[in-house]
Amino acid sequence: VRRELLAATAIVVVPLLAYPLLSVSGGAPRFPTRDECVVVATGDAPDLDVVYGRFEDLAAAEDLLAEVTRVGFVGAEIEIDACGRWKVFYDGIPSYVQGDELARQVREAGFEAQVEVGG
Amino acid sequence: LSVHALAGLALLNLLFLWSGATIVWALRGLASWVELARLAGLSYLAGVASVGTIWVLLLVVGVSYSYATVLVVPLVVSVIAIVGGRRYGRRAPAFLGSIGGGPGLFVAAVAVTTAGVVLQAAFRGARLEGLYSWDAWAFWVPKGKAIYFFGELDQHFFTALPGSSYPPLVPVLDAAAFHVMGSPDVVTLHVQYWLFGVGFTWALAGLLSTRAPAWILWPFVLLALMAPRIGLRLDVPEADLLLDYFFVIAAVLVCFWILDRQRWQLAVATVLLCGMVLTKREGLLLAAVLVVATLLAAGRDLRAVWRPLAVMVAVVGAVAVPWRIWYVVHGVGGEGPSTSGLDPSENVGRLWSSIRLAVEVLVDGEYWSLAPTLALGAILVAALARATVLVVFFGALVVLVTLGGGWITWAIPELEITPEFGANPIVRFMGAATLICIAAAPLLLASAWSATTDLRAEGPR
Repeated sequence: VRRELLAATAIVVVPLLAYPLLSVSGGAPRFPTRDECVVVATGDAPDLDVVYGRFEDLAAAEDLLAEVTRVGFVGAEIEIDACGRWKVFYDGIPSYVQGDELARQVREAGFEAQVEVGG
Repeated sequence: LSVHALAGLALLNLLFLWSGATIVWALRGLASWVELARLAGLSYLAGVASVGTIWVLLLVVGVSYSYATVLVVPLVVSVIAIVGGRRYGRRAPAFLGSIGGGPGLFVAAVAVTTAGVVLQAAFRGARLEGLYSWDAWAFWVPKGKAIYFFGELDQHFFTALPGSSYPPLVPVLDAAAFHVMGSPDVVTLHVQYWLFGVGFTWALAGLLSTRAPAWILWPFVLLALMAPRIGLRLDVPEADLLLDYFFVIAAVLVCFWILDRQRWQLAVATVLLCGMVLTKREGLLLAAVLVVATLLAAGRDLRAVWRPLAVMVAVVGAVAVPWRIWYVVHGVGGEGPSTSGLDPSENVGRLWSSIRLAVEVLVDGEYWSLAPTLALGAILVAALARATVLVVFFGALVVLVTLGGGWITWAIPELEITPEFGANPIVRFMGAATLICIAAAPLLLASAWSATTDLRAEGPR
């Protein structure tokens, strides 16, 4: 009986320990960081945006939107991104070259801007 | 998502297990440590139901829901159970006990391992799952957050959300999880629901293991974990599966009570049913179904069973009433159908369509795999073996739950005759019938098996 019990215990314990150990042998599971919500464009791609900034606080995003609109960059909008931050951006950029040019003008006006792949 | 959150959940669930184990010990007595382990799943669910019920009642009468409430209630429950158990002369488990031997032990070992691997895989999903399920983020979890932040059933919030008349056991359990995790961590919350699933699996296997051989029992337990609508949703923070867990384990206990007449079985079933009627509106319907099935299965023993059953109904009813008073007082619409819901002649065509929909959902393998079909076969086999009580009890439960599903669709004209989740709750509701099938099949087949082996032992006449 004792031998049977030991064998049955081994049948249960060995796989139940081995399976999770094998599962995590390649590293523990991780969450994506907030930086991974930002995909900087390097060429033409569907859904390109020029992003002026990201904020934890909606009021700060609204301040930036008012600023860039005041100096002439009209048509920007605010949206919450996949990481829960408020994004001020210009949507509907048809090509990377055009987006890069807009971003350059915005930066020359004293703001931050980069072309990103939307999501 | 942190070690702190997982450690907090571990503490909370150990409190559920501890308080439930003291209740089972006080009501039943536990002779050995093996028996304690076998009934650990039942103890855990009894702990969730009893502690959760008290939390709900305290909230309804206006007691503030804080971290202290979360910790003190299970401890008070266990102290009361221990004092009561001592008065009944209960003693601590005196010896280790035996888990048996022979081929059955190895079948059970392989099955436990398989179930363990499946549950481990489910845990990895639960550990990182976002809050994507519609009902969960639309109202179940927001209600839990409201209780966590405000410490009360905030009138404006609770009356404005969808499902405002739904009983608050699940939000209360969510709020308890948030307290012990240290934040409203809606990702790690999925682990709490995974633990409910583990507790149910353990409770079912533990209860049935003394009545059905391992080779009959475990395929059905594994089938429960493999059924898409059950196994893939173990970690979803909604009330449907928790409701079914309470219902099915209570039904199994009531079945054993009909056969054995041990009072602890009905008493623990009553605890679970109290949790059930505070989990979802359908809990009241399922409680009524269980009572009717019990009366049908009791047959000639009706005189002996009606009084204990009446006590059970009175206790469950008393627990269900305060929440219903709360929402009526606060101007929330009732939870009954908008039509009378009782006159079949109101819309005969819709009635038949509704019942047909419930039957189609029950036998749809995309939701429940083969479980209901196999159980219907088991009912036939057991009927041939004249296991009358089991056949009548479980047959009545499956039929009545199915009719109940049909009644819900028929009585609420706003519901479309469709299994689409957004348009009709029939698939959610029929989980109760499926899990009843899964619990019933091993008992029915085991009784048929023992009848045939008894006949063989008697030899040719």
